[in-house]
Amino acid sequence: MTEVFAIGLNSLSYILILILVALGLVVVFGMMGVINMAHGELFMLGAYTVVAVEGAGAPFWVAVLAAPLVVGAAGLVIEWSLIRHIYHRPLDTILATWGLSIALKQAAILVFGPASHSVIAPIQAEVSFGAFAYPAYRLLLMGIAVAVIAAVFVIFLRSDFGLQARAVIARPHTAASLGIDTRRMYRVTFVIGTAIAGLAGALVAPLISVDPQMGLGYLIPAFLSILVGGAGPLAGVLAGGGVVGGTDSILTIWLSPVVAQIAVFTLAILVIRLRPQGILGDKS
Amino acid sequence: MLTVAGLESGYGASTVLHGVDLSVAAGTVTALMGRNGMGKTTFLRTVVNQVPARRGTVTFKDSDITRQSSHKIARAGLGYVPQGREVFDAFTVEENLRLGMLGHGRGKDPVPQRLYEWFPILAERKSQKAGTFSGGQQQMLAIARALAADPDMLLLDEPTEGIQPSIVHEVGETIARIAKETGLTVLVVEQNVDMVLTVADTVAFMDNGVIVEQCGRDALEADETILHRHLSI
Repeated sequence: MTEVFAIGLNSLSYILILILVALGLVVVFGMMGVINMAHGELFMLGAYTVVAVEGAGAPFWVAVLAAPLVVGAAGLVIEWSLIRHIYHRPLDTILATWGLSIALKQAAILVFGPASHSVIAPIQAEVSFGAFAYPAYRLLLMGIAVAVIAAVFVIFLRSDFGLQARAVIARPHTAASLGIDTRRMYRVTFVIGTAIAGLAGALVAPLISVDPQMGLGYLIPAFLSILVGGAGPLAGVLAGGGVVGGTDSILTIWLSPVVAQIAVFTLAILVIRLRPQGILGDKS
Repeated sequence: MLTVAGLESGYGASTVLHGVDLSVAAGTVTALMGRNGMGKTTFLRTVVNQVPARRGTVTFKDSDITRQSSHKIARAGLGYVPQGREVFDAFTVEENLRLGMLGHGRGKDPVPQRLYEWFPILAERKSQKAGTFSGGQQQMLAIARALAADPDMLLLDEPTEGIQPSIVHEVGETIARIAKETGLTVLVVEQNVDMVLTVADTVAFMDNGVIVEQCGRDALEADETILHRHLSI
């Protein structure tokens, strides 16, 4: 029984991190048609921010707050120098951001070295549920992730900013002719997307080893989550993240991680074959 | 209000506008007529810089807006209702109208009551999704949305295209009423002769990307050959 409980909570924390990473990807793709192959490296940058800030002697929570700011600032520079020149050219964005991802990885190797770093969880305590104890940090991480996911939904579905953003997605020319600064909307959205990736990387840093290759391991399942869930509505990411993350973490218990990943890929192919619009996506 | 001189533009290798000269005086309604494919829509899109001008100038309220970005042109007070209406299907009537105000920094203001007076159907269906509307209702919404930020001038691209004949006249009357009540300057691209006679003070004809003739509404009513010359194939 306690084992099932642990598996459930571990799956949930993985799913929530995956949704955070996928949300950043999907707002950027939905808004400007940019498929950001460097999103995983922005996630990595968030984790390295924690390594650097902690290394400088600051406490973990300061590092977690710094991560979205640092990565968001990097996003601003990336948008200005690279992305704004290739809006709405999906193929070009794949190549350009892929190049960027290689550059960021090499930069991480140059600055931090090729070896992995570990970040100690700031809270070592465990919360006990009867006979079963679970790390408090993981519970806190889940709470923060849920809050951030909810905030993103509120921003994009309930606020005036979100209304304008969705108008720009639906009809960019018309939105501009109503006085909406589409370029500014793109820039702000890109920075939000990158800042979320940075925060996700920082939060997950104590749970995994921080190394230059860590981004890919989250980028691919995040892409799968979007494809499986359907890119249109934000809610699709929740469904996709649940299916992909849940399947992966549950299968990993019985199978080797590699076989589990093969199973997840197969499942994703099946879903995409049978429902090309995604689980929640509509036909258009 | 709006002065266009020697305007040239096009798409890729093809040139559509070959030097358009047109002047619209403040407080007047001008109709732009011409056969299909003569560049009327491209002309409006070039004025609001959705299609970049290759040559010539567009002057609005004494300032050169030829290379301004579209949103700045809108904020300067030039409203634009595109062909095909382009309402936001998934949003409610009220959200569509608010979008007309948000870009102008008026997000805190309520939707002006007079929009609902001009278009009562919108008041009745404030919280209905625009995608469920008929073509005529969507047209009214698109016009109201462009008027939400209180522009000085409105560009309308074929407001009667694809809407029921019974509503065409209503739309025409409403545009004429708004222009009269507010002193709004209007430039409307239109094929429907009844509509043009209902709203326009002056009529300009476009042929192959240039303005070939311009006359008053009275002259148009008096002389049928003008229409035949420019509109029959």
